[in-house]
Amino acid sequence: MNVAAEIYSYLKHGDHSVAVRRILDFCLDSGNDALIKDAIHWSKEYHAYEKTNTPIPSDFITKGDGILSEASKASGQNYQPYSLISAEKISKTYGKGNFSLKPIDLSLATGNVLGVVGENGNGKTTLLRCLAGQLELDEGEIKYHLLKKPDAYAIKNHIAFMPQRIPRWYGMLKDNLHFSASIAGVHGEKNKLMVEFMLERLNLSSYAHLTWNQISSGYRTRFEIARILLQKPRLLILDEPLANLDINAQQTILTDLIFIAKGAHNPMGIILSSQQLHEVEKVADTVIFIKQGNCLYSSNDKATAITTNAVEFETVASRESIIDLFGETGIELQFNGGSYTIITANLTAQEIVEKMIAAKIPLTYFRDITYSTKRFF
Amino acid sequence: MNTRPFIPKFLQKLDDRLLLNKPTTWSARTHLVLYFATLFAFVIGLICFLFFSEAKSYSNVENWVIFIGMISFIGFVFWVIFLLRFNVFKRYGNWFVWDGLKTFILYFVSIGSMVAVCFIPSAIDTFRANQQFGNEEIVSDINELNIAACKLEYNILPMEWGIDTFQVVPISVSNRVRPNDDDAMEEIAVQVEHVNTSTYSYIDSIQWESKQSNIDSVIKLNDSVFVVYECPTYVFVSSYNADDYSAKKILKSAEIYRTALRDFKKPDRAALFQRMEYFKKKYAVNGRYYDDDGYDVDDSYSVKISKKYLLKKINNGINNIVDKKYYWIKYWDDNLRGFYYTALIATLVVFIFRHSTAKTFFLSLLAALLLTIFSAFLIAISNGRESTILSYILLYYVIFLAITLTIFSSTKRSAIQGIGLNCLMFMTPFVPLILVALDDSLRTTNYNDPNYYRNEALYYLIAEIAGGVILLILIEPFFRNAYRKWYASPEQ
Repeated sequence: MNVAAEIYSYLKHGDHSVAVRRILDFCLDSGNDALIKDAIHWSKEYHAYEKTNTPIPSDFITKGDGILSEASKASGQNYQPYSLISAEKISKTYGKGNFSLKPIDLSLATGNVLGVVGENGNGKTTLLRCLAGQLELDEGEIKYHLLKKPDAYAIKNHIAFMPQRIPRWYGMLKDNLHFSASIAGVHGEKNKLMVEFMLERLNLSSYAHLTWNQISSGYRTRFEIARILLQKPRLLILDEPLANLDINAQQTILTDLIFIAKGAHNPMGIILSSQQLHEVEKVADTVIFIKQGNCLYSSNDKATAITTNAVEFETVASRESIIDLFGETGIELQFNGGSYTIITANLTAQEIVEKMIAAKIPLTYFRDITYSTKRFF
Repeated sequence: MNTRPFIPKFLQKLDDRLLLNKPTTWSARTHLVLYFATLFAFVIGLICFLFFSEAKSYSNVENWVIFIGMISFIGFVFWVIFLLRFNVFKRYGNWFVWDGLKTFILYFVSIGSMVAVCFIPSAIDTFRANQQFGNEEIVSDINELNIAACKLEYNILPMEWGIDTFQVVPISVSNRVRPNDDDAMEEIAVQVEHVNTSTYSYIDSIQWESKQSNIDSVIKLNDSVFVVYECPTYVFVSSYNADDYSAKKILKSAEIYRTALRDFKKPDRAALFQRMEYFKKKYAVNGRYYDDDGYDVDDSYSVKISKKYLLKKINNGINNIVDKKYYWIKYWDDNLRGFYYTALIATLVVFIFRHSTAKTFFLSLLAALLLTIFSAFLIAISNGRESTILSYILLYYVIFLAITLTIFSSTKRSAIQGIGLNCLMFMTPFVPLILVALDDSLRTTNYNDPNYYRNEALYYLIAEIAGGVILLILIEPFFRNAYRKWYASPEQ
């Protein structure tokens, strides 16, 4: 399904929020400033309805259709993936006898998302800081394919790194956004348009006139993302970006980032670390799991290919009844105090759930974690 | 965009335009600093204009400068803390070739405008004094005052001139032939028998040359012996430099004698008293007056006259006026240096702070302090000569340069490199001055050096200018690139 058809489908089925965001992206990719302004205006209209809990009128949908068809005509650009960064056997040790990140290989292309997961203190931030050029490597090499002769400043100009603790902003939030766009070479009216676009795209317009102290930590994350995106980086490195966001905002931000990363306007790659495994795994093209500095699993790595299936579920049934049900199929059953995990080479997740339903075992939660890093925790 | 308080629309528009188009210029906030500095200067100028209404009174410009300096300092702190928050360099913004130099100049202009405000009181003081008193007017009044005082007090004025006899000897032998040589004294005494030789003395040719300009009258006995006559003092009111910028000159005692006393005629005393009253009103200082010492213990004619006509008060008033009138002419170079070095040092500190990490910046301050203590220790245990101190400073500069050069081949950022770079940049504009001072201090030990009597002020001036020029030349190709490489490099 092409982008326009996808957005039509959202509009048709009443998924207005996602339709508005996607139309904004689509208009941005068209490169037509007039269309972008129309889309911004339309988005503001939507947020006004949303704020006052007013039912969406039909002419709003009609306007959206109109903008979409105009954008479809104008859109000539397509997103083309190209290699951004590759790291070969990079490692880092903090002093003698302290924590050490063991050699890791990875690569990333524009439009792709690399998720880095692992428990606290296992090397996720160290890996991200190495990739962002903030820490000197002990061994290995990082290649930034878009930079011909990369010096340290050029690398940091090329990459945007968002730390877990975002440094505070000073002055009015909107001024910061204008400044960020301006130092990235977006000047004049284009600067105004892009800032307005980004505020609307991340639904921040009504907070733009405030200061850092006047917004919550979740909004701070969103403003920081807006600021970073306005600097048009080619590689976005986000350390625990979901930490301060509510469950809805986590989903929204992640999907927004994917859409923006794959946009023709400024295609970029994203590397992010998070504890929110399921959210990350939903959007990441590649997920790597790090434990005590070692990369235990990479979804792209054939050497760590999965040979067994794994499911996670919660039930009020007794452990014995589950063992009785799967007794002869050669499963490994683990209980972590809250949920059960079944690991087996003989049954698929579908077969496991079918068996349980047939045996009338009450299920309150079920998830196939065969290809999830959850199984390593 | 943000609407800032106390900012007119045109400035708000300019601010918005700079934010959207020239982030480096916008983030320096020079436009805001200049606007507020101009407003402040205008207000201060107006207040000073109203306050400095009496040029003859004692100047309290120093108090005004301290007061304005404190306000300017608060403005500087406000600028550093609140206005300089946005940093293109530390945000890894787009890099343009002249941004480093542009940033430095913008900082200098901003700080310079804050420093310049401190000079407004003295400028207004000078302007008001010049507005109230003309250059010729003061000289004429001084002459009229002295002549009037002499005429009014003719009866108590001494008329006998002092006599001195000098034998001029060349400077090369003056050290060998001294008045202690009794034979030589006697021989000359015979030659000048007809004049009083009681104050007979030797004088070398250089001293004689300088003395000639102050001699009231002289008789030349032969090529080397002179009898010098000194007129009693008839100048009760005068002021140093008062006639430097006037076509008229202050009459010396001898000139007053020739003009008014040699052929003395009885004056119109009532008219002269009236003129004296007029001058008293015009020039005598009101309020505090502390130069009374000697009035009661000394009953000389000059004290009596001064006391009778309040000439000391008048003299002080004239001194105050003259000081104020010619302050900027006399001290323009000192003022310029005060402005330049204050602005330069503050600019260097801000520039370094903006290109360095906070940790490295404060470590640099600590390093400078420790080096000063260490140097003091070395000086204490060595000979403590000026050349030694200057040599240490140059040695430190070379060490900082060597440390800075390692940045270009290093793959990581270290605090030591940052300290070296910060100190190197701070010292650079002063290196030519240090070199000239070192050369000067080495030459002072060698009096036979033909360059010993060269024009030192010119050499120092050239060094001062050269320091600033070298800094400006090096900012973009060297310092900014070094900071770029150092700041962006990965940490250990």
